[in-house]
Amino acid sequence: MLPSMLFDSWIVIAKEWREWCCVRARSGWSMLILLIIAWSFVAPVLVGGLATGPLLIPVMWAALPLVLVGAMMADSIAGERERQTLETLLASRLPERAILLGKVAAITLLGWLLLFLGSFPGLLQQMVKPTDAAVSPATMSAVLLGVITPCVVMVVIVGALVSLYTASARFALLLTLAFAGFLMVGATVLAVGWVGAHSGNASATATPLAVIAAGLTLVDAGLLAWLLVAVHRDRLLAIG
Amino acid sequence: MPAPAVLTQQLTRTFGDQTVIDHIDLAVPSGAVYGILGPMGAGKTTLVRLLLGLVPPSEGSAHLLGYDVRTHADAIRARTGVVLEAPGLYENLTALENLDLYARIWRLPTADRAVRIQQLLEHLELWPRRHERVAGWSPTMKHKLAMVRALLHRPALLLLDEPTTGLDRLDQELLRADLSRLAHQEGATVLITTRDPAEAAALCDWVAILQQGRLLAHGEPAVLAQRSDTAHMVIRGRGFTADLVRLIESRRDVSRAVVDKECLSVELVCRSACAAIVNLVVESGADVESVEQCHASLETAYRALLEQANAAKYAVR
Repeated sequence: MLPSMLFDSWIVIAKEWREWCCVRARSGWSMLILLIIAWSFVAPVLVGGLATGPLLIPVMWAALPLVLVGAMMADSIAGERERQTLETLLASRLPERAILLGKVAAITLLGWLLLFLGSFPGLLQQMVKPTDAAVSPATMSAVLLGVITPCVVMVVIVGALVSLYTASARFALLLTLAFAGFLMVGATVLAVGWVGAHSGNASATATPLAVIAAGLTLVDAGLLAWLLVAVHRDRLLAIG
Repeated sequence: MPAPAVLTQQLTRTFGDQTVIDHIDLAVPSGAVYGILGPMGAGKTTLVRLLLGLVPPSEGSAHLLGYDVRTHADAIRARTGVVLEAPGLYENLTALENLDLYARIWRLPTADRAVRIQQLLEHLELWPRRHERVAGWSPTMKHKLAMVRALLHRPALLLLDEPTTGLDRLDQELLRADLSRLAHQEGATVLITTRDPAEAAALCDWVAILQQGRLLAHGEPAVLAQRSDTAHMVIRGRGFTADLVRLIESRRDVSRAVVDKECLSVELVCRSACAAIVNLVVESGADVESVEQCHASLETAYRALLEQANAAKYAVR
């Protein structure tokens, strides 16, 4: 059962990647990746002068990938429904959960890749020439891994849920982007407030970070469970 | 007698207080081409969705290939080829990429995959264009590619929602021949929906007429055509004026009158009106050379059935 589900999800992952990465806009993707890499250098300069600047840097790095995965997820379900390709896919042998898991996994992995591309060059630069010695590149990496990475998953799953419950692709996109924006504001408040209060003490920062990471992962697991329970073919097609 | 490929009993689907499919009993024989004929909004697409398990029934049951649509929809979809109203192709992918995706979904063996794709694309003359993105294709070509996709896994049942819409006449004939071969030589069951009674008569072994979710009649096209009281008469002669045509059409027992050169065709709602029409033509001063009364076509019978159903509906209101 599980290997079959994984195989079916892999077919959908490959299809999504082929659609997004290889065909949809090759030149557009190159430009976007260049922009994300450039942003990883620019973001620290923009916020580096602030007292809590270094903690905001990972949030700034996450901005573009979060917005992109939100838009992709809304397009992948609600957009595909409007292009009338989803119904044919649902009329095939693939289980609806495999289709949905494949889409979520494809976009999550792409989001993580974009996050890596958008943060790694900047992180390297911070190691060579730190903006603020109070927050080490190691803490920034921990924020990226523990906070931002589950945030990417959350935006993808929320995008899928929103697409299930809204009939229009445009409305799904707006709601998902609003959620991504809300999440970034929340992350900023956290960075400035709670985590920022512990800056300068690496061991004291580790505990709240671990709590936040665990909390976010739990929320992600809950949302994924909701998604898998809520998915039905008629709901994916927005019928009734 | 083999078990029906599709069997529905009192199948019903409501959306809110609107009944889209209303207690339908269908039995589609295995190895037949079966047509669901109905106007727009009759519930044809919803019926296809119900049969595929894309929408659950509100009441009643449906069995396809022996599987219950409520409990074994996955097994049904695994054995069914589908072309829905829209071709449902990924327009940014090439024809080959689209087919390869579905060949993987149907788990065709790797060795068989390429051969099967080539065979079907060549048959529909799409092979030379296999590396082109589908976005630039004409609707006819997209429709053909969707047909190829539906046939990839050699399905036992083919569900086609308005399959000839947008096809030119030659392609329609090719499709008819292919569907007939699939059903009568390879034993697949083909269920199509259509708005065109002429197509249903030409293509289908059996026809069910659907209107506003209700089954009005079903049977072989020739039997359906004869069952109604309708008839078709052709009067040859000269002097058929526009006023005469209008006068004939204004009668309640006539559904349509058309003049083509020296030939006046009249579709009668009631066969007994034939003599009255001839009198009317003679009294108008037209020269009548011959009068021929034909049995009604499926088209005439279909139109009469829809009119009767509409009249009954308004009488109830």
